[in-house]
Amino acid sequence: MKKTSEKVINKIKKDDIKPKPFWYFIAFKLLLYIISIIAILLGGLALSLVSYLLINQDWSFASPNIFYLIPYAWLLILIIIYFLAYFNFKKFPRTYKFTKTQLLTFIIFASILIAMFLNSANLPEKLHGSFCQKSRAYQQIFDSQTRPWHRPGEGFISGEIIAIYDDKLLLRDLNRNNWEIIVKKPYFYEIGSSWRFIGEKISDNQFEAQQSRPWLRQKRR
Amino acid sequence: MEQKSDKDLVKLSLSDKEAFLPLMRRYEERLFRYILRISSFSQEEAEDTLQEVFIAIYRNLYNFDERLSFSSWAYRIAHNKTISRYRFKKARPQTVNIENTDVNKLISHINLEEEVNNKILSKKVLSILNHLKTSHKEIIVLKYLEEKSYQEISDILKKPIGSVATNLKKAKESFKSNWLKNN
Repeated sequence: MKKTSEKVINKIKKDDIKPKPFWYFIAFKLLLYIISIIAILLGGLALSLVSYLLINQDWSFASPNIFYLIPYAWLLILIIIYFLAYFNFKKFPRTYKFTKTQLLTFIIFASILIAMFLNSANLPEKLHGSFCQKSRAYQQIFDSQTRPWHRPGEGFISGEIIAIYDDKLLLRDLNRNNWEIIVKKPYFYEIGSSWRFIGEKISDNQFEAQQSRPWLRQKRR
Repeated sequence: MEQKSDKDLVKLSLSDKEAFLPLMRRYEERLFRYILRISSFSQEEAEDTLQEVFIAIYRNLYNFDERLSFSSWAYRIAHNKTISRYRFKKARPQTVNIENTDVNKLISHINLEEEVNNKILSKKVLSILNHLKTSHKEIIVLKYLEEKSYQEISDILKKPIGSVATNLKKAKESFKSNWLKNN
């Protein structure tokens, strides 16, 4: 009976089997490096946005439900990026020598450094502002700063003041719905300014305000 | 050709197909035995798997990392091919193919202080080995039957050395507790 080695060498010769070319493996490694760099950069960007949204959240005058204040959409994206980066790093030829904890620590540490750099350049604020202006869907999902204030049924509403009457204001909310806000001193407000109100919804387009606070930053539309 | 190191033969094989033959001969028996030990394959299936392993090694010669020993790389490919073959067959290995001499070797390493010189005891050992988790069985086979170092096992299974040591400890404990239950 022929030995396996002889059968294999005959098959290699007969079928003219050749080693995969050198460039194939170089290209694969290059791809791994590119994906890793992109994943780390995206991780840094997501982390910078999460930290920006958390740091600039108005924790003092907020919702009773902390869930609304957490930028969970960006947090979820950040976790997904970390896992993708981790599984990509695992494909490197020598990374099996490191434990999961060591690899994840490296990825998280690298993304923290990038996030710090992006924060110092004020990029998260600019990006978040730009995304919010361009996409209402983005604002509804990702903007944890304004989202808690779009729950009129629970007593929270915010938006831009578009008209002022003797005993009330006309407010345009995030969803572009107009609301009549009953306030004690309408003359106190300015058209075009953005405000948050706590109070009670009294009909489908009427809200009685008990407390109000301006947006510290420019309200996004 | 027979005098050359594995790494030299790998380099030569890239330009000369014939140079791959002595390399295969060096590992033929070892890898065949290893495939049988970690699978439930028949001799024919193990031989088919070994052929696949050698073809895969040949196709990936440019990917051989010289920082690794060729032996570890070949065992890793054999391990992966064996696992993917039985996954493809949708049958996990049920029995381990090891000889009585292997059983004695295993028993002495796991410090069970038993004299294993009869077939009944050998059958017990095999039965316990077959009931271990696949990961435990693999690591016991590599350490005590293939006599690989921690570094080599780490390279073959692509796990950190610390995890190899921990898994081996767990595998030994599992083997011992099963042994004590059955005696």
